[in-house]
Amino acid sequence: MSTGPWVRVAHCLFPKSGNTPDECEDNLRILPSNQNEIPGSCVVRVVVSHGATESAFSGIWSKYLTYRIAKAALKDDPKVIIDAATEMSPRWLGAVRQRPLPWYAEQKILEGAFATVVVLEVSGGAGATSGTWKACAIGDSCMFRIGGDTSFEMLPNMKPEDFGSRPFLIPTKISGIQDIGGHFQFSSGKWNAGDRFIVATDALSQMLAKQQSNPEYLRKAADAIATRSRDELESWFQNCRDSRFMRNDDIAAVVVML
Amino acid sequence: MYSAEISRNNPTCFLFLVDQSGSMSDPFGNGESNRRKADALADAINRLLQNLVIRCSKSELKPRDYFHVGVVAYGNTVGNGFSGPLAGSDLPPISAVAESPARLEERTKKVEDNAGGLVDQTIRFPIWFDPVANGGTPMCQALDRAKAILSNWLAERPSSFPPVVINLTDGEATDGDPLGTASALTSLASSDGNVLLFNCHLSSTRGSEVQFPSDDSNLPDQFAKLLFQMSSVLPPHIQNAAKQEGFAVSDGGRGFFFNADAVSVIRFLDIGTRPGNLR
Repeated sequence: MSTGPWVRVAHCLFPKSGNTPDECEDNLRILPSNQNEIPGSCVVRVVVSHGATESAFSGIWSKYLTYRIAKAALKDDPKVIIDAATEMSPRWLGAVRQRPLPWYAEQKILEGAFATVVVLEVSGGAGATSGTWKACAIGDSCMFRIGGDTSFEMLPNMKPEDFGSRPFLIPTKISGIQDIGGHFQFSSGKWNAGDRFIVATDALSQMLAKQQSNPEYLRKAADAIATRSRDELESWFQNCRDSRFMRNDDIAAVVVML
Repeated sequence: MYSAEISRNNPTCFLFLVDQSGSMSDPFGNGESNRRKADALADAINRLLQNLVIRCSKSELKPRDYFHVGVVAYGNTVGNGFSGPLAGSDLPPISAVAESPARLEERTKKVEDNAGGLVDQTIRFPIWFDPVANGGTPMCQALDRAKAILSNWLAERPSSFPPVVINLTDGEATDGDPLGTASALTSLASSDGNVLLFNCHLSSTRGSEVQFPSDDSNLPDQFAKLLFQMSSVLPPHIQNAAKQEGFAVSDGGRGFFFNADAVSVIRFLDIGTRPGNLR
């Protein structure tokens, strides 16, 4: 039986290069939210979301979704997430209409906002060396599982060229929310000590997808996100952007180390 | 090529050439019996500008200056098509265009309420241009002016996504053969590729809508065929983006529209994630 914590969780959040931090449209939520409570918990839940750049006030929508979705246990059907989106839609509308708006903002709001979501739930407990996990995703934010035995899994399972700029996302419009049920993907399995999970938004996910056949790179990426300083991570990501290995976009990532 | 990031630090530009000649008072050939070509053109340019502003609008109260936008109007004269505060610049930033429509018209539109039903809501629509039909069609002069404007732009921003020129016209140039001057315009280039020239032909001739054709076999008259020849072949990157938007584009497809929705021309320029279910 392990004497260390059964799970460690780390995260990072960076705006697109050239944007300010408050312009970042990616969001993440980890429960328990207090890092000190994580080793003593039996379930860790991670929600990562990316607000679509071309939609209105999408960062606010992404934030509302992550907070609300993280409150409920993940099930094997999309109803939990659809109910969360339905509940948060009028709140989003109320938040963006709090002040008089210019004509273009009024029209932009009519289109609504859109966001991706990926949810990961890992179950274990103090002293556990194995357990179960389940995940759900819509859009092109992704979950990666890298096994200690170099096994690999990705949800949604996407090739780098699949990351276009037109993914199917969770809308704020109530009529649209009812239509998204068929676009969710689910997966589940067992974890063992030594496994890593990375949950990330699209730019980083696409970069990691390029290394699908190289689990060792993915493990190192997970370890880097978990252990490097913010400045070191920022420098690494900027190098990746400058060399065009990664698209210039917001980055939200959570690493779960077992 | 044609892959430079479009951002506030590295904006690109659109330059619209707007035909305001006397022949634009003739009926528009797309079946709307009471509509003149000038009316269709004014509607197209207003919707194009509106679309560009909205695409650049985010959570802040000012649109992000991903684009600079200019208008060259040609008819009785050739000059800056904007009026008011916008008239002082050949390529003002999109935020300035957003703040300076000539007027805002109120219209009623059905929108979703919080419960998934529909309610009437008053929406403000910007108008920058009213229909004008007066004088000859000095298209060559307009293309020359465009070349001068974009030469200055490219001198200041040599690595920008290549400028896009969109010529909205009924195609009957009266100051010479525009093919040569169009070729001179598209010979300008940034490090990311040549200037693109798209032509939106608003014709009195009845005919099926045409978008991104690869040849001129389905085009009804000499003016359409000439504008097709003047239009840039879509680079592969943009061809792929247009296909993602649902357009049927084949290799050799050109940036040419015949009696079709001009706003489609700009839908596929990539400034970030667009939801597949955005309608």
